[in-house]
Amino acid sequence: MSSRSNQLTRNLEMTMEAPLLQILLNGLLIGGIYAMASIGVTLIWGVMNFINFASGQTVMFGMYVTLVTTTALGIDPLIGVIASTILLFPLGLLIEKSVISPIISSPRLHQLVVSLALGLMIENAALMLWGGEIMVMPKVGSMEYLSQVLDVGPLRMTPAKALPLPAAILLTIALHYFLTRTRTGLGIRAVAQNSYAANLMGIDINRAYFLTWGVGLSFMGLAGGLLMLFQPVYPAVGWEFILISFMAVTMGGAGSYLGSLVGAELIGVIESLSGFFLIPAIRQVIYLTIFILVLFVRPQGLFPTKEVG
Amino acid sequence: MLGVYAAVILTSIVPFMLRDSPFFLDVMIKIALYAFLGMAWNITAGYTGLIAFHHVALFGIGAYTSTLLQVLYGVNPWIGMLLGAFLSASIAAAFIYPAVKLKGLFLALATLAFATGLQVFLMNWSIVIETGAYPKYIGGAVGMFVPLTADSLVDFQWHYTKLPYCYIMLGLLFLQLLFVRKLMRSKIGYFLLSIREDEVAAAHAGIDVVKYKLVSMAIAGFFSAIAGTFMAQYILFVEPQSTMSLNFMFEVSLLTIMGGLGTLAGPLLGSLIYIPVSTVLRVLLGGTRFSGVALIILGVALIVMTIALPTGLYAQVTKIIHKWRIG
Repeated sequence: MSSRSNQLTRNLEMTMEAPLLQILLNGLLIGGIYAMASIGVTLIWGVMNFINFASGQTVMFGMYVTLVTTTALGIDPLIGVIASTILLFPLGLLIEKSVISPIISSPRLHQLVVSLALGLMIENAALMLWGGEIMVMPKVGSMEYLSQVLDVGPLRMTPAKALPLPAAILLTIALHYFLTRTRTGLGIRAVAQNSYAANLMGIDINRAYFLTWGVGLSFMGLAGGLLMLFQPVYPAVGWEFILISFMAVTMGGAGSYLGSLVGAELIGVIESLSGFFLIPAIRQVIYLTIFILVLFVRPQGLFPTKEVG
Repeated sequence: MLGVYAAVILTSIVPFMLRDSPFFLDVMIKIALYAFLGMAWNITAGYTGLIAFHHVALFGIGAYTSTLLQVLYGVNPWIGMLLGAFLSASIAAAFIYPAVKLKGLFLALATLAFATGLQVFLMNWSIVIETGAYPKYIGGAVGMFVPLTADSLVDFQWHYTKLPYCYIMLGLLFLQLLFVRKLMRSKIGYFLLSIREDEVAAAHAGIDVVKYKLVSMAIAGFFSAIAGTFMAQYILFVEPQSTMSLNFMFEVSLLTIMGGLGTLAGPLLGSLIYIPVSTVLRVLLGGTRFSGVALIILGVALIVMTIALPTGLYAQVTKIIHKWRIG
């Protein structure tokens, strides 16, 4: 697993002029990727108090959808990303209606089991559909520009890798706007704060859950799409993101979007720094250890917003 | 009870009857192994209510300990097994100690992180056993081979038959079931159940919640490591990728849940259903592309069951038998 996750940061190119700055930049960019993967998790967790163990696999699915639509339809990869975002929305709705809705009030273990089972199903379905070989996005259309290494001042980066961070920030801002200024958004927040009271106020909780799941999955589709632009895909790649997403969300404070963004960036920077100063292969162990320590010491994270259990 | 004795006697005859077919023996061994591990997971999740997923790591610790001791110091695998089991139990307890106050999901995440971390660590950690111009490594992602010896019980290896492995695994499973049965009828078992039901109430009743969580984890670690050593001696090869994969962990957990969490027969029932199905599917479909079909079916079955039969198959079966008896 570590050799594969190395590919996430395998282009750590350090220039002689500003090695530390470069490492920080890489860390921030990686953090952006993690943030993208975490937004869907935060949404579903915050609104429905449901921990989506299938989130990594959904991101993986989004990656495959992007790849397949691009290669099969011969369209530009960026359009493939948009396709993935759009296509995963109805999938989210479908999953919510069929699988999530019946168990929304079941004990935590059941929810965990179901989402785990769902994740495993998606993973093995992907294995069946597309095989286990590692696949990369071919260099067509925008990929030619996106995959080259650019020199921006003393720093070096690949445009494809630089996309997720601004996307994550924009998405967080958009989400914030949606949740605080629009009627539907306020309704969803009301459900998140107190579903019983929201119900009494006339808000349709089931509809809120329904939409949330759809939106959450489409975010994961977007994340997967952006990832596909530089990350090779294989069915098991989902596991890399699940742990990191949960780590980011937990460290940032469950339910807080800004928190998960900050948490994701923290993980990215820690990973990048430890990759430079310590043995790169141990990078994962480092942030996993930090995660465990955070859980032991401050499980509510940096910006705790609600009781999660 | 009579039915159980009959089952045990039957079970001990079956391997002998199948002695000429390594394939069926392998299936039986797998059933027993998964049931054994499932029970280990069941102790923490089913009886104590701790949602934890690091048993594969403990499994790996058992496998690696006994193998390393064999390779480096020539320690007998049976002794290595016991040492590994105690080490694993200690590590399990040590890990849980700071985590006792973690609620449900967070414990699951912490244990997942632990399992993944250990797997990654073992993939990158190798030991030089011969220095010099061409240093010889063992361990790391490449894995370690168990030193081959002639067939013997003492050395825990057989190369031309799987029958002894089968009996050993069944024996281990039987002993484990006896132990767990005894445990759950004792005071300790009662305390574990109370922790599962309501931790706060249990603490108020004077039960040392921390201590019994540690006990539960230690026992699970002990069993997991024994299974690990068995696997190491059976396959004669350990590597982090397959020995300690999360997929393996989830297979074990999910089949236990399917069989019935918190019951004695649950893991065995789940294993009896899942392993043959998965083997048959793998044989029929073949190739790596379809290696996960059994998991998809397991996933579907589980989702359906969680919605329709939340208590697991064992509870359902006993209900049906009960109705049939009274009928």
